[in-house]
Amino acid sequence: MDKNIILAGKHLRKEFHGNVVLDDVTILCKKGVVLALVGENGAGKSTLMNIISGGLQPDGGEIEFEGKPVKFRNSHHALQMGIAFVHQEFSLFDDLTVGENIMLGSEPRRSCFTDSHALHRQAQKVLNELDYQIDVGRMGGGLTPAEQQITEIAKAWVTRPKVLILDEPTSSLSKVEVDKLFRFIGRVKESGVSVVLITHRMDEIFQVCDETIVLKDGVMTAVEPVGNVTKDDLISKMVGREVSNTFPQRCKSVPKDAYFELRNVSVGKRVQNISLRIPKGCVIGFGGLEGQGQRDLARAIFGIEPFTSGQVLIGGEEKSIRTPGAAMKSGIGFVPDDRKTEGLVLPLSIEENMSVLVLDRIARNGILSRKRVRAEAQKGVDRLRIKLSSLKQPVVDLSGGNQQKVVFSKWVTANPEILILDEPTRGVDVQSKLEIYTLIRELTSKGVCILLFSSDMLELIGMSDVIHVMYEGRISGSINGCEATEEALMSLSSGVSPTVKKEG
Amino acid sequence: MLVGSVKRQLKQAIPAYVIWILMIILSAVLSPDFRSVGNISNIILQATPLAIVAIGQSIILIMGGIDMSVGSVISFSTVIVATASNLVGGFGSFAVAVLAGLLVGIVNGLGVVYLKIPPLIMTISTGAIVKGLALLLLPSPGGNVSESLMSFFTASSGCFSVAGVFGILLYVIVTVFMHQTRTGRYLYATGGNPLHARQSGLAYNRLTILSYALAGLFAALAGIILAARSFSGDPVIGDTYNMDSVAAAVVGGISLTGGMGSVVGAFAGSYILAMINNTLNMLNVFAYYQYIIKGLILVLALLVFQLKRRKKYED
Amino acid sequence: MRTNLKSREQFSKLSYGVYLLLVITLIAFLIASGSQGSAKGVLNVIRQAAPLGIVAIGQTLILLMGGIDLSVGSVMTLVNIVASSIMAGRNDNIGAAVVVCLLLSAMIGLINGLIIAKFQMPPFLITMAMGSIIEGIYFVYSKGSPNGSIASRFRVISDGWIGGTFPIAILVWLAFWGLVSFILYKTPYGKRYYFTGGNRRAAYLSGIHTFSLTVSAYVLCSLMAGIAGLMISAFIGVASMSVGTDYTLNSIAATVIGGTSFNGGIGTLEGTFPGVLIMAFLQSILTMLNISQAGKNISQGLIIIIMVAMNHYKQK
Repeated sequence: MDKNIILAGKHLRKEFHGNVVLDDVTILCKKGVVLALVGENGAGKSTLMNIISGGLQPDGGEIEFEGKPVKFRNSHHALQMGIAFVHQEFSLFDDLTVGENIMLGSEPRRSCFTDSHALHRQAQKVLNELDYQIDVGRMGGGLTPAEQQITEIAKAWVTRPKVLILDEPTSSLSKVEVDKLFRFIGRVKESGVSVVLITHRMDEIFQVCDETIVLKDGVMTAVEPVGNVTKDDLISKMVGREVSNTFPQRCKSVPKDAYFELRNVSVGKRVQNISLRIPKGCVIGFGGLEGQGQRDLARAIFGIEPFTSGQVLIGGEEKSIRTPGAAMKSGIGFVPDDRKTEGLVLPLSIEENMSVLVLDRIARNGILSRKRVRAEAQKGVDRLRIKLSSLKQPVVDLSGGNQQKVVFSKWVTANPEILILDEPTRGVDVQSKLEIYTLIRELTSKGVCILLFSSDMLELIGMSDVIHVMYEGRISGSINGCEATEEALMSLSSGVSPTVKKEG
Repeated sequence: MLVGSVKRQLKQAIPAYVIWILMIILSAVLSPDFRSVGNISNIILQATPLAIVAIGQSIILIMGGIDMSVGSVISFSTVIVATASNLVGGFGSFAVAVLAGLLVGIVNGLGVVYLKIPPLIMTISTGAIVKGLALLLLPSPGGNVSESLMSFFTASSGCFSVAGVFGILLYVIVTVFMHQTRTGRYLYATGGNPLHARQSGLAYNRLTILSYALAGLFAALAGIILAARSFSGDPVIGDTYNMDSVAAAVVGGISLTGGMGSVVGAFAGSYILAMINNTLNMLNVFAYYQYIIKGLILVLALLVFQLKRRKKYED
Repeated sequence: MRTNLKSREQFSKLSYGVYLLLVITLIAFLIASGSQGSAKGVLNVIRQAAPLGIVAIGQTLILLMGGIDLSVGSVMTLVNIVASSIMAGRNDNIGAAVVVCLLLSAMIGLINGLIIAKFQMPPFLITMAMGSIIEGIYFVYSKGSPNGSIASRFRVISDGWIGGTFPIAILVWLAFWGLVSFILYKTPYGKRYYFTGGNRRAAYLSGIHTFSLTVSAYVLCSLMAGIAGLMISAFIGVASMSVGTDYTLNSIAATVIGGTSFNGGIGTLEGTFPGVLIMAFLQSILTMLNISQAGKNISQGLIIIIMVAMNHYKQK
């Protein structure tokens, strides 16, 4: 085998609950080569990296390390062999210092006691190699996301890995910090380490990477040296697919009068000065890369973490929305992105979950009758054709798609005037998706404002009347639904297009 | 010497020491009897069992758990020492009591780790079982504590008894362990971020069982001191120590949610609580007020630390 | 994830399991009573279990809501002491005593609930501290030697038998049980206990006022404890400093036997009923075997561990 290939994953296959997430993917990590792993959300990048770094077992295919077939027991096993994976989610310890976090597992000792001075000195040395200044004595709990990111990278680098995998390392870093990181990667590369960089950002790929692999829906669509491709090539390999007619008709024109208005709203630093006028009966989509403030915006509208400045007007009247209860009173509903922890009470039955929002309405003279609860729940079930064996079933038994339908239906039962949807079809099968989309259009025809927050571009394009793309807490651009293309959205999301229009 | 998270953790103990010193000064000023050697050695002898069991409870709290069985283990320990001396001699009964404490702790740890029973429920239940066992062995206070054991621990020179010094020694050992070894630091990490701890492969199961075993051990030691002092076994004497050990730890700056504070603080916390009784006596206040005061102190300490910690690490 | 009917079957099987356990315990009791066993004997045990039954109602509510109340035993003792002292054996003081005791209980519950809800403090610790404070209060109040006694007419609720055949105590128990069951199952307010206990976050995001629900839950629980305290006072007729001690753990054990989970949201009030009976018969048997106090403690601890482990296993 090629002596230069340190780690190889060949013909890898992975399934989750019958969904094929990776199909016949081969990835080769070569010495001294920086490989870019590219693809949109859900394409399978993290799964692939988890497999070749020992975090997950593949369902098919094999892994070779330095030419020999290998089976990783877990990620620590892989780490010991020299494969370090810096994840997107940090797992630092708040109560240990930066130095202690970095040196976790490799603490220097003097007899059986930890030599704290040596520990912090060594940690400092590693940070110097990264050319980054953090006081190693600071506690892990007080670090900014950028500092956490660097600490995580330092933690991986301390183990002197042969393969270094970085998952979206620049999402929290400033331009200056990114440059420093890339120079570090350059040095690392020269010492023979193989680097894999998972990233969305086009200019980064061209700045520091030697080769690229593009994944789309679990399949490799391109493996090329960076010199052979252009940005547009990559984008089209990431997303180019038939936009089939799986979406109901949009409304023909967007009415002018705003029912729901946001004036200069902000949530700390995460959402900055957004102003929007949203009319009744439309689907307003919000897109962009993960973590650009969409989630915070959605939650602020529903009163979970309220706006820190600006005004919210409904029907022309200013409303103060500081709790979910207040939001509901103003006619706002919210379908959260995490149904298991926020949308459903898992141990309770379908019937109970379906009726939670309307208990007062169902009760006659303050008394709930089983019959009426059941009838209301049945209506909700029929509305979306939820597959179940009995209304009394605990909701945890349902499939993901059906669970999501329950969450959806429960909110529709409450007759909101403004309904916020946060990733409404995540983990939902195709058939259920369609039923949900149809319901959304029915709601808009009745005059409900739908705010659709989604990372699924096809969904945004297919459902929205207008799409606002968010980037770093602001709206980087807006496109009419009927004119939107995936390429345009992707460009706005990556902050690439030179003609980016900044709103407000 | 003080590099790293150690400094931060130790700082949590400062308020307790300040309060303690103020208490001492106040008592010394208000009552001349307070300063007598007899009174001081009495205080130390009273405080030591609580101080010792608080070590174990502190370790558990730092690691993110709770142990409500320590009270029963203390009682059981006194019972063993009072009944086993005839069979295995003074220091034999010492050994049996310690082993029993360790065993209870290990059972607690196993239940939490493998049966996935929440620590509170597990330890309350084992506490009930152990209490029942103590009652079976010795239905009412009494028994025969070995002379040698008693005289060993109560031997003193001036106000410093062997028991008191023993307590201080234990604190020194555990403090060094918690702050200067890898395992100690991992306990802090696990308490502060249990999810990350599991992900980082920090031998979560072993650490948990170890902590509960240590809690059982220290509770047993506390019981032995208690029995040596009162020269008898008592199946219910440990009951108040459940809450008191937590109070001592919390007052000493240890966070209920884990990861913060130092064992060192529990020392001051224990003495503060033990001295309340003493101070009330000096002021001629009805002794039963201590229950009210201790409960209030716990709630107050919780509130104060909770509010301070809202802004946990923001500099 | 495919529909999994198996878990539902296992769930209902365990409900029947409790009744099976009850029958077994009952039979054991009858065997242990030997020649003295009789229907009236059984009714008598149930009669004496009424205070536990009532306090367990409150504990079940709290557990369903995702909390725990370790102060119920102390509340019962406090009520016993205060009631004895106010009544001082005179029938015309009954009204005043009952009102004062109920107000006290409600107030304690209010304080518990407010601190827990407002400051997000762990319920077990706050209620445990409160229990200690209450202990101190009744010690101070009675100066170590409780006085007074329960008025004779009040003792009817514990000693009375309707038509010589059915104890009034059981009727009182059933009445409260019925009332609280109605609130829990038939009103929106009661339903919200399950939501809040099952997933507080989701409940909050569905517009439920988890704060006021939590506070009112603790008030209700303490009230139940207060009522149980009045009943136990009627039983013993005098004041006693340790009358309530066993009830805390017993109420938890009974609730857990009935299938209620510590995680909240899972369980029923019906299940607690046989749970109480099982504890009552069990402890009668232990008394007959002369290991009452030790036995009580060991059985409480073992039962809780076994039941919680089984509940977890069932939910997998």
